[in-house]
Amino acid sequence: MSDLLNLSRRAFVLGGAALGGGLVLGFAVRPREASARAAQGAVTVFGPWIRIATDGQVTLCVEKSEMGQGVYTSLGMLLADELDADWARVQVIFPPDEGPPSSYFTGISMSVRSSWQPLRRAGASAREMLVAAAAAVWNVPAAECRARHGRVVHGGSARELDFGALAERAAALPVPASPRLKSRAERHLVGRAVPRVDLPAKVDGSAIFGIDVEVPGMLHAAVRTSPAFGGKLLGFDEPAARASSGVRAVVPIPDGVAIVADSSWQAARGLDALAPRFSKGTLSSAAFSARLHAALGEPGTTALLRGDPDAALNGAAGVVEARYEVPFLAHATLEPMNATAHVRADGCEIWAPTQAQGLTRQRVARLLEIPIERVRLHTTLLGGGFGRRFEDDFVVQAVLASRAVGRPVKVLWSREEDLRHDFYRPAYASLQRAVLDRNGMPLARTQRIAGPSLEARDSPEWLQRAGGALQRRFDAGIPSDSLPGFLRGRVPEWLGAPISRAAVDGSEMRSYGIPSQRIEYALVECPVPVGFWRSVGHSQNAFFSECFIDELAAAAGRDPLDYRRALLAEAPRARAVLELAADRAGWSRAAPPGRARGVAFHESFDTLVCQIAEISLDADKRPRVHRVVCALDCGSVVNPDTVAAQMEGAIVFGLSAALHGGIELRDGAVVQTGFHDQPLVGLADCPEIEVHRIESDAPPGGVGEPGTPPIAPAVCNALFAAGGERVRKLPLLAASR
Amino acid sequence: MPGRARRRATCGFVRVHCPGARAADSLKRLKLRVNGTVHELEVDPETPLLWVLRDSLGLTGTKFGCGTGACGACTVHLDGAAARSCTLPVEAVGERAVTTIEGLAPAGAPHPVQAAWLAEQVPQCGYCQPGMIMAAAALLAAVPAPSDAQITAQITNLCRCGTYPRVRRAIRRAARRGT
Repeated sequence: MSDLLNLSRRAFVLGGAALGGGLVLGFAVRPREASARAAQGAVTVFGPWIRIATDGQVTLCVEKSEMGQGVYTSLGMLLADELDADWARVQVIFPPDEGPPSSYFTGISMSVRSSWQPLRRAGASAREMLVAAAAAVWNVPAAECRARHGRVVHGGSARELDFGALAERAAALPVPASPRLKSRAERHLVGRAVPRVDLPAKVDGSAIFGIDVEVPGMLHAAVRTSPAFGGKLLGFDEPAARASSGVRAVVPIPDGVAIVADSSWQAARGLDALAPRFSKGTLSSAAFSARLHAALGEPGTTALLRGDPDAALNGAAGVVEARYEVPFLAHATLEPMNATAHVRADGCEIWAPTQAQGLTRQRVARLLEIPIERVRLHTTLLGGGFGRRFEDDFVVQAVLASRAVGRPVKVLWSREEDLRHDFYRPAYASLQRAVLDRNGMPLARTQRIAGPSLEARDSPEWLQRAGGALQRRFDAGIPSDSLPGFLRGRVPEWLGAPISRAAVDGSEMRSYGIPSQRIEYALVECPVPVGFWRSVGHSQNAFFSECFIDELAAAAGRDPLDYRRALLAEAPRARAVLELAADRAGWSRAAPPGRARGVAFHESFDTLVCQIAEISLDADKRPRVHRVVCALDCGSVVNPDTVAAQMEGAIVFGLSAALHGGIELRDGAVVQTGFHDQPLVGLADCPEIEVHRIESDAPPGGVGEPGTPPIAPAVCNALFAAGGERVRKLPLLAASR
Repeated sequence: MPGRARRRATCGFVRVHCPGARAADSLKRLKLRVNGTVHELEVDPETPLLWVLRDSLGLTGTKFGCGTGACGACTVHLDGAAARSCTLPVEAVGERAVTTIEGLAPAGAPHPVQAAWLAEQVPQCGYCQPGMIMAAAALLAAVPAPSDAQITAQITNLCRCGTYPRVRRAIRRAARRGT
């Protein structure tokens, strides 16, 4: 019945010289096709990423989670291009994470950036070994041979041998120390719009996500944890749950309870019958907002200091000052949190849609008090990640439920559980002040950002406070040479992480030449779990800084695009992105009747993005976004169509947040329970999106996240241009709820 | 951060079995026609069609997204019309023929909507896409050349990855080709 089982049973037997033997199991991304053409015969291993079967099928192992960003395809392309593999005979898998501890994770828009050199080198090394093996067979110089589409060809005699026939011999040869990488012109895959390898299975329904995992003997669990963060389980109706069809067990889990049953529906019904009761909390959105604004009134810890902004601002005339605020945000992946675990006497096996293989195994090993070598983790496809699946809370629940019932258990969350127990993008408030020179350009700027710390999640509050206090004393001028070296000028992170990088990331307006700036961070404690949300700190800081720049342009009486053009005078790469967006959006011409445009530029993850939003206002002055022009420079590109898709998706993701996104608190719990009260942008309100990219040979920049930050300020700036108010608090449509 | 430290400390467990918990009297024999095959099932008749498809029949292409019919990840066809299966009790299906993503193109060649989806490289994470494709196929079966306004009105499925611009292009492409 299950493709997964077929896959699990299909073992690739390893031969060749590189490894003595063993098994490789993994989720193929094309289950239906893959089962029809599993590699036949012995498989030779070339390092950690490349396996070639005697029938010529190439299996590429990636250690990055496929969550929609096309990473199986782009990393596969990096390997296969240098290998000169026949792309039609390539399959990409995520091998199980097992054995010694690993550091596998997927995030920070890092997959291509970190793989660009090592994967191309690995492909090129294997290619040179295959060519050398063929040359030895034919007894000709290797220089007369070349690899092409999965074969090695001898130029003089037109003889050719398939990779499958050469693999075992090739793997026995020494690995080249410095293989020759292809020039841009020689590449046959990288830089081209190659169709994604995971899409056939995603349009015929055969793709295996975490929720689709089926393990023999598996039971199903539904969970409910305390709606109020830090709340206590007060009681439940166990007899009612026992009487509910298919219910097998009631299992305590951290902060709540799980019902284990024969099917998902029975588990959900059993949980309703159990009707667990929890204590209430006290925190409300208004109270937390007040805390944020109170923190803006106190000095923070300096995260960046350039020049002497205080001298320029103190007593200056015409200081522009603005407070901004953003709410908590949920990830709301469309696939709710889920995981399957089987705790056995000999260890634990996990099937999960996760972005954090290494940390999850570590956590489970600690929980079960077993060596990490005995925790085996299979990564499925992810029905969205966006940072939520960095966490391991849902895996821990599956492990506890399986341990309690002695059978494999799949935990599946309801949408309500998913929205109310996220690790949210923190709410932040920001206070900015700036003074302009005689030409209206910013001379000095200060910014204070208040909010929870992502980095300090694991360190106690008193330590964070102590670290912050110490850092402020450094800032106030303790002579550095009176301190031990490791303390000079900067409190180390283990001493309490006084600065949350995620709070200040992207706030420094890197490309704009503002002569003096101070950026401070003020820690605000909160009981709400916080985590990494697509583009992390850039998600709020682009809104704060790009709307504020617009305010400065308005104060100077300048066109907002022209103002940025002047600010980017010394940053040609950034300016080219701005000009491309302006050109394609037709900025120099008037907007169509009834419409207005807003611009935002932001750099994140080594990628520069400019977006221009075109909006209109309805009778209630509510914005409708009609068109977004996105220009970017992300350096070298592996798959241009994936880059465009990621920009489109990131814009819609950011637009959902800008228009509707906002997790509210009441009685210490999240108010939102579904898509009815936490709406997402749909087809009806999705704008036309154009993506224009600057060709570049620079090292690759990130692509998954940089498209999200600029959209909120671009839309808010357009709203102002349309004669609406200056928006300083998101979401835009909050009042409509 | 409260979560981690606290959770680590409360990871104890108690094992509570509920023997005899099966309330067999709530089960009912039903016939269900799915992708051209008639299945005889013994199920709780209130079970939503989605969970019968996924858990009883192993047709996991139809997805769970919200359980309230809000997102459309669970969209299937009932006698060719799009329906959200997560809120539809299996008993209410009756004689109607159910088609899931697995049965959309029974001949093996992709359905024109699936072909258009590949041509436009629509999916990202792919989780909502079976429901989106089923909604689009039902729309095109009813309205072979839909206007933009009709597409907007009929395709209300949610996609968190934001594939909407490509969804619209793929529907236009499939419409040009005819279904």
